[in-house]
Amino acid sequence: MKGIISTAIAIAVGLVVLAGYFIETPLLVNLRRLLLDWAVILAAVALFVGLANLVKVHSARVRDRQKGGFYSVVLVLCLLATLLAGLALRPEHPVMAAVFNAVQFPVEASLMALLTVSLVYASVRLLRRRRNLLSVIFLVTAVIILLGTAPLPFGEIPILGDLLRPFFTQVLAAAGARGILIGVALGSLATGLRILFGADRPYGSR
Amino acid sequence: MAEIACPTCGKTNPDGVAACQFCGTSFQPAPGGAAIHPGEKPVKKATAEFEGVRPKPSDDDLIRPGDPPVKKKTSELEQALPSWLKNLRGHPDQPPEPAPDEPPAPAPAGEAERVEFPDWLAGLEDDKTRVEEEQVPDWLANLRGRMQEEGEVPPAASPPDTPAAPAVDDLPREEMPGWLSRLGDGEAVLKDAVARPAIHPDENARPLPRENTSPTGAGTDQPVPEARLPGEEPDWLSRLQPEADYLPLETAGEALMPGGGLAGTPTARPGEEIPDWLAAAAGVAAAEGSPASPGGPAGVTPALIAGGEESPARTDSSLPLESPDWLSTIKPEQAPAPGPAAETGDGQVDGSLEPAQLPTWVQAMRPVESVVAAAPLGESEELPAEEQGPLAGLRGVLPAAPGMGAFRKPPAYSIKLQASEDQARNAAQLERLVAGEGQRSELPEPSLLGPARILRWVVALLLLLAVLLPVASGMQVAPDLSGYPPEMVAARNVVQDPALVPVNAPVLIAFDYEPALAGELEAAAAPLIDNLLFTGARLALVSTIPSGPALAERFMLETQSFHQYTGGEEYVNLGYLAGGPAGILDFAIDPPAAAPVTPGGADAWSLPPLAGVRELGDFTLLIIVTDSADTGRAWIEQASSHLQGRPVLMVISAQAEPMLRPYYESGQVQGLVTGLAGGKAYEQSIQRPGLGTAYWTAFSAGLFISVLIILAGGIWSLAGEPGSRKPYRVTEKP
Repeated sequence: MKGIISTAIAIAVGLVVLAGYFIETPLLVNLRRLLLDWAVILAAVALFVGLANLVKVHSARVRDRQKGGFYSVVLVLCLLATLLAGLALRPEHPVMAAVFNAVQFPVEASLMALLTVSLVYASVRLLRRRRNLLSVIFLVTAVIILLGTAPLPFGEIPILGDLLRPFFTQVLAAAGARGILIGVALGSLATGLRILFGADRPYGSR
Repeated sequence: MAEIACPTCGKTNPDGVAACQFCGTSFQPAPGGAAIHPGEKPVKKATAEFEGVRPKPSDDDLIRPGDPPVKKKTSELEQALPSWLKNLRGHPDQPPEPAPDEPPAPAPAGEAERVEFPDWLAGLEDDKTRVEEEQVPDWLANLRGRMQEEGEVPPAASPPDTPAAPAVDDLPREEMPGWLSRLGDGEAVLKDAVARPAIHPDENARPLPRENTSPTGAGTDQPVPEARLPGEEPDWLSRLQPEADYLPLETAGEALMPGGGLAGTPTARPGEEIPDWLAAAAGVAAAEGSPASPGGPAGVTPALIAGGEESPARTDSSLPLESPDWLSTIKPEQAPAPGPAAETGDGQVDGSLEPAQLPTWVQAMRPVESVVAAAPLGESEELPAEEQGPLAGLRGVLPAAPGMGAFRKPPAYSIKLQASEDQARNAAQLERLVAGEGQRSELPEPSLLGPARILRWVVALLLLLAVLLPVASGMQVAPDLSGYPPEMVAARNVVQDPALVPVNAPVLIAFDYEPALAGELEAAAAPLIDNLLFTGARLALVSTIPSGPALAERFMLETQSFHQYTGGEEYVNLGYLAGGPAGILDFAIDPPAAAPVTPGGADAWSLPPLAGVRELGDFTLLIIVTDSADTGRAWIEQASSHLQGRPVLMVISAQAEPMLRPYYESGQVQGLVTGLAGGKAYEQSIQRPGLGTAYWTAFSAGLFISVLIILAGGIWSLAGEPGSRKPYRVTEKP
């Protein structure tokens, strides 16, 4: 019974929103807006649900004295402090901006820099691990794109920057990207239809 | 030495004794009693003495065809039994008669003269030592009682007045009655005939012992005299015998009862004298029907005789059987027709079954065995044959018991696993792996000076030097771009076109990138926004990423400080749009409703930057700054239809270019600035160096070093032996 109700609601909402795109009647438009607002509110609430789950998991780790519990303590304390400061000072406050610029931004940027080092190291070890044609193709493509992205300190390489890189990025990569986009579009359409028909029930019992 | 059988207990006594040594019955004739001796004429006797034991005649006492057997108390009739019949009583303490199919016991060595007799007559020879067990069925007792109540008991069978009849085996062969001796020629036939049990309509009824089937009181196993001795037979027999015609075998066969025995009541010819008891028995049988002939007409065969009759099916017609004349008087139609269902396939009579009367059409439906039987003959003969019903005669049609069909011996499967050599090797390897899972192994301590760790440190140091050295020294080694990307030029043209972006026009900028990629995207978007702010554009900043509003504020402070834009005056931060694509659609449909206030809580749509703006189409330009292809696609798909033809520009990361470039080539996006190179090109094009220019040498040096490291590592790996590759260790810490 529960599954039937949820399926009926999903199909009805989907049909109403879809019909709102084709039939510009005030009733359908307003109904679509209402349903869309509900979806946005639920998404925002989901952010808080995720936040609460994070606090619960790490609190349990602290309570059970699991390995790495100290970091959980730091995380929970920082989270609560930032939340309370944001609620009290508002996000536009310079303190809140400083917290973001001094903590979150450098941390994420550093992780990206480490990723650069790791990718280079992995490329060095690639042929050591997998010595096959695909590995060679992968490395050659990466080198060509890197050399063609920017001029080298001693100057541009004529063929790479003018011919090879545009060919790789605008022909080969674009062709693959378009194929992926078409596949994504068809998949989204099929998924929408399956949800409208009740074949897929990502929200419910199956 | 002659012996005398006691008429009461049936036991034999030595000749000459006056009374039975066992029961004390006197062997002297009773006063007034008349013993019947061979050759004497039958004398009518007064049977009033039997009236006392006469059962009340009633309809219930009559036995009719088809009546179920009813036990009756016949002890009161014991005194009415004739002596010859009493002699037939077996002694319970004597062993039972061997089965007919068992071979007869060898004759004693001292009795050579008896060896002359056939085996089936050996019983008569051994009558001194063998006592037959007799069990008289109820119907026979009832019949006797009826005969006695009619007062027609044979004179020779009226105990105790009648002395014991001499045993047949004691008679010399020449003293035997003539009719017995004449039967000697057909003794084989008679032997075969009397050796069969009779069919009784009642399945509970037991057939008479064979020795009781003879009217003389001797069993059929007793020797039958070969020659008739006219002078020694009773008168009533002697009068019957001279004129007795002996039936040919065919006629005798017709006169046989379905049970196979001799049938028919000796019927006297007109004018002849017959014993009263025989006439009475015949009359009663004719009037009431014989119980031994249920299906036929009124049975004319006394049950006494019919009980020992055999089926005619096995009668050998080639043997010269001479039947008495009284047998010839039995008409074929009087003899009950043998029921087809009463006989099995081999002619044997199944006494436990009631003969079934099948309609002709059912009989026609019965399958022909020769057609149905597909199994080999030898195999089918071992199968059980159906004895009744429409399938009678067929073998192996039905299982012997419910659930027991034609079982077949199941095939034997070897329990030994049939595995190839490769499978065995793989199984052994799997066993080792599984066994190794449970064993605790010491993890190797990662060495600070291991080859891999050293290599990682070398790579990191090279990259850091390549990036930090140009920035720290301020040198510009990398040359400027020789050309501009067309998508960047298109974006610049849009920004610089007053028709598209008039002065002081509202512009919507979406900051949808993560802080990790802020260095690239800030350098790419800064020259475009800087160029835009020269037109006095009023900015509205929005983001679908929670950290987007902070990044937007940072961008404005870090890159556009030159323009001295302040929040709430020249630009307004609309904050975070929850819901991803749904949030974008919601904002595209009704921006004031989707983002009504600023992160500080002020009414965003009442601030100067958003003056006159109520819907998405009121913005003159949409700039999407994103590092994700999905986010860029969501903006294009959800918001482009609400822009009312306003231009869309995208500042994207280099990693998202392949996925978002098709939107530029399709015309849905009017301009595209890609990565640091695009920002550098834009700065170069507007002649305003910024972050792109500052990062350009470091960026070029980093790319160059990276390419060198990759090429060197690839060559080193290709030059190395494949066998020198170390297995992948998960224990290594990054």
